[in-house]
Amino acid sequence: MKQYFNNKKLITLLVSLMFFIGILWFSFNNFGSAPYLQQVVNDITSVAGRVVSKPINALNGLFSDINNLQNTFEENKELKSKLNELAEMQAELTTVTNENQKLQEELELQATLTDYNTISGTVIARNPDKWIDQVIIDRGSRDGLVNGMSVMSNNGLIGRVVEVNPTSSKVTLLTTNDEAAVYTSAEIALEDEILFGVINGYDTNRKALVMEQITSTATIEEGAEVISSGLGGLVPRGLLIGTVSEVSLDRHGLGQRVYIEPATDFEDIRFVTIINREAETVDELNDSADTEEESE
Amino acid sequence: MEKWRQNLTAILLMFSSVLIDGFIANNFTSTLDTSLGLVVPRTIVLMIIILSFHYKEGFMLGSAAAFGFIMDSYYLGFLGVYMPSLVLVAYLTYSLKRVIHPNVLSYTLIGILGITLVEIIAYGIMRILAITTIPIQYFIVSRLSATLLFNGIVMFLFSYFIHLLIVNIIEESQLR
Repeated sequence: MKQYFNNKKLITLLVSLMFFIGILWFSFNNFGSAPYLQQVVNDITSVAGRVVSKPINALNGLFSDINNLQNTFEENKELKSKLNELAEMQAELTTVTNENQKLQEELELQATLTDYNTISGTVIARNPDKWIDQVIIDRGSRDGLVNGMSVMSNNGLIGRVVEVNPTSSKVTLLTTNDEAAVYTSAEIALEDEILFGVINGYDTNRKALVMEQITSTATIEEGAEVISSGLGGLVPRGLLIGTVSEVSLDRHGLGQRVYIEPATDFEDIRFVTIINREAETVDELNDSADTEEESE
Repeated sequence: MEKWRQNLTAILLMFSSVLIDGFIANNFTSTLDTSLGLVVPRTIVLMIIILSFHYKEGFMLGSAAAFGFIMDSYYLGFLGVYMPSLVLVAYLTYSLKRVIHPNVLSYTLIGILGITLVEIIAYGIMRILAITTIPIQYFIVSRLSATLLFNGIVMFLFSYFIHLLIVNIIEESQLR
């Protein structure tokens, strides 16, 4: 009988195994900062992906416009009734904005947790295996993106940028399995107080985000809005995450666990808005502290 | 010159499969989450299996490694998950090619074996890296079964046409 595993094959197998383990260890440790070759490959593939995704997105847009036409009459009626309210709110907003600006000037505030710029982008592909729930977008370092920027879609926070190439980027979604990738500091504004907590997972059965480490035992009502608190050092304050759908005890029975119905449909993400926070991030603060220490 | 045409066809087919996987995952996300479990499109695995019956071993193993690199880099962001698993799929096909004649049923059988191999390797690596904590029983029931069913059906329906395309291209190049 022919020997199946001869020496040559065994050596090849062992060397290949060592090579792949080495490459896995090296690239996983450097996750987020892709080497030049990977960036080139990602960009070339993303260009081809755009060729496929753009006509499909246009077609989807056409179908959704046709669908919207059917609801136009009812929507029009509802919108007309809200126009008067809108005029009053606009006047109030202008007054509040001017007042806020004057107060900021008096206090010499340079940037607050709510200040940010936006960059628009389109989703060109999604990771098919769902172990890491990631989408690839058509914006990169040439458009001003850096690692850690928050990303929104349909007015809800969906995740953050984890890898930036020159013309494309990867965004890890809040629904991913990897809990460490989704930690987001959030707050729920109640009548008497603001509750702070951390979004640290996604429940696939309930299709809801999970918020724990809540700092208070106050009663949380279903339907309360959950927004980003800006305290984590990455995400600006005020980005809508979702609404409370269920409240229970956490796994230790000591604190509250809040299930949040996301503001965005994570199964239909086509267009994204990348948030560029103006206030210093934790990394920038650490860098400036290091520079000051060196100069002393 | 004709060799280049054959190889280019294979490369284009594999590249299209890489993009098709991402396209299906992006545009049919809710459809892929079925009552049987989560379906993961693996057209790249199916394409490598079909092409391995018609192309040389060296070329296919190298291409599998290259497209595994592209899959890892483009979709995951780190290397070492699909690179070894796609190469193993190509190697498995070459081993079975000696005893199995290419037809729709044999493509489907090897497709099921290949996808099982890829999924188990990916699951194992994700467990080791602590990206997922689901137990293997849950993985088999909630992911593997639906993925095998979907990809098995795709292979059964489309392998004949891809096989014909490749055979025609190879025959044309040999006639010239």
